[in-house]
Amino acid sequence: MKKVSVGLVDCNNFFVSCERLFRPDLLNHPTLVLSSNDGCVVARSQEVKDIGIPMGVPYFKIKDIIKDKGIQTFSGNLTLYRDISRRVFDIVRDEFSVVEQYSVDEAFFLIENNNETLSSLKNVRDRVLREVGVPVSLGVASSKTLAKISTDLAKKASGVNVLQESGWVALSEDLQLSTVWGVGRQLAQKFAQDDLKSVADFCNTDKAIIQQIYGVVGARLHAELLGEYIHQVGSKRPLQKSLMSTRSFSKSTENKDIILDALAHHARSVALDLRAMNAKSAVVRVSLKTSRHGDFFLRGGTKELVLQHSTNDTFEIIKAAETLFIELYESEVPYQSVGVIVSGIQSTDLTQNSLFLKDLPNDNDPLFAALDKLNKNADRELVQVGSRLKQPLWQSKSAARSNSYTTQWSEVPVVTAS
Amino acid sequence: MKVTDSNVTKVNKAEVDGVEAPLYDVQPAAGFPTPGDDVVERPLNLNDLMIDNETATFFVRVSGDSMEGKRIFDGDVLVVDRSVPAEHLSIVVAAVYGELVVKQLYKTSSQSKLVSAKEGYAPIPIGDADDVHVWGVVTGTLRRLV
Repeated sequence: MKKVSVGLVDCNNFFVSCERLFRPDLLNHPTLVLSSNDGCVVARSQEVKDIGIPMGVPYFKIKDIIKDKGIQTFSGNLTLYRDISRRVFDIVRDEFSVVEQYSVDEAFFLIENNNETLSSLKNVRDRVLREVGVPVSLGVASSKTLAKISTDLAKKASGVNVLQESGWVALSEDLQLSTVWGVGRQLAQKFAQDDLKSVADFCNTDKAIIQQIYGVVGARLHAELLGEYIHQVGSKRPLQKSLMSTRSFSKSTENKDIILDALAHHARSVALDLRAMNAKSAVVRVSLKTSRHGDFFLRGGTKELVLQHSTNDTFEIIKAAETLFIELYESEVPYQSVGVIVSGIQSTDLTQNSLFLKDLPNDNDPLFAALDKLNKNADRELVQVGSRLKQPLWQSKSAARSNSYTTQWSEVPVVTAS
Repeated sequence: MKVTDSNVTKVNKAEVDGVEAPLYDVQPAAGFPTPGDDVVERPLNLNDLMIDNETATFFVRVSGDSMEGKRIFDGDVLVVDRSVPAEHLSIVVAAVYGELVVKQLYKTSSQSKLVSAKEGYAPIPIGDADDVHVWGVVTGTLRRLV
């Protein structure tokens, strides 16, 4: 039987690499990227990792180090990152026939021809670096889970790696189970309770026992770590179970109009995502939060509403979200963030209308099809439903967003001729 | 190279019982047909003329006059293709001590350097260090007159 080789391409410190492409002065300079509204760290250069700044840490906690060490800080420029990502994976698709993009900076692929794997990986790495200008790492193994590990090893070495069975045994003894792809915090805790710490501990446990204690999830993980090709590359991923849109305000607010404006923004955003996925949702949840520090940390909360039928209609989702918000809101409480979450997501083809609802709500599909097209072509939200403010006061202007070098003529890089 | 379908333009594809068949943009005849209706072509597109490899192509804007000898002027937009190999006499965008610049590449067996196309600008040697390197090859210039 032909053994499958699964590969993973992963862009190194992707957002930082995108920024550096147009700022060669930052090539060896500590550089980090913050999430939108400058909340927390979402990408770090190697120099920043070496300084010891962890991923996800809130900006206010590292303000002083940033200043001390002269770290270059950017606000996330998703437009730029998406365009660079598109270029990287266009090349990956050109090089491999089966490619499954997994996130903005990662894609799995299959290798059919096992000859000279390492040199072909190196070719791809070099081609992406030369043609797009961002560094990527490629790791190959016999399952997706092992390909992840192989890629981590590639990053520490020359950028490419093929995981060999012989080396894997020794390696698995030093590898913490909690760092493995697909092992969440809960599962990691369970493993720790059962005294399974390293990957080797887990692999050496009998398959039947794993199946018994950890069910099908554990059994699949066990098989993948033993090199069995379980999670298919390119197979259609199941629909997400829930979608969320949430963001902190630029500063805490008690103002109902401002919060409602933000709420409508998030409702529009999840409704748009649902329509793009060709899916509908039956459960709308609103989360209204106060600061975790300070006098109001016990206020705010989460409430959900189960709709009578699944929907992706912006009007209906906004209506549900506003109803929930009114129940949650207390005056004179400073809120820090609001978000809309939809769950119970089903493909549009599968959704059934409620048995008990005689008059079906108006079908706004054509309206939203037109609206989505209009907004997409305008490259911004030209037509907004349910907004209350002319300026979204809850959105801070990102302090240090770089130019949209590849998508706006007015912002293309300037080259000096002098 | 771009491939052009010479005789017929496939406007769309329709799935017929799982078989992909081209769908031709031809209306059933009602009255005298407009001649040439079966040869529908897209209007000219500047991208086809200026871009060979979209994935590797970036645009930049020139600031300064040091490349006037190569008819590259202040304010011009340059088409930069990173997939094109930089050769002797290529016009290139280069990263020079952290700054993106446009220069002409001189490559001899003994050394490489970046030169301007106007008097009074000193050439920049390209060493082994990373602080001077070619970023991409300029394959075209664009300039509006009004």
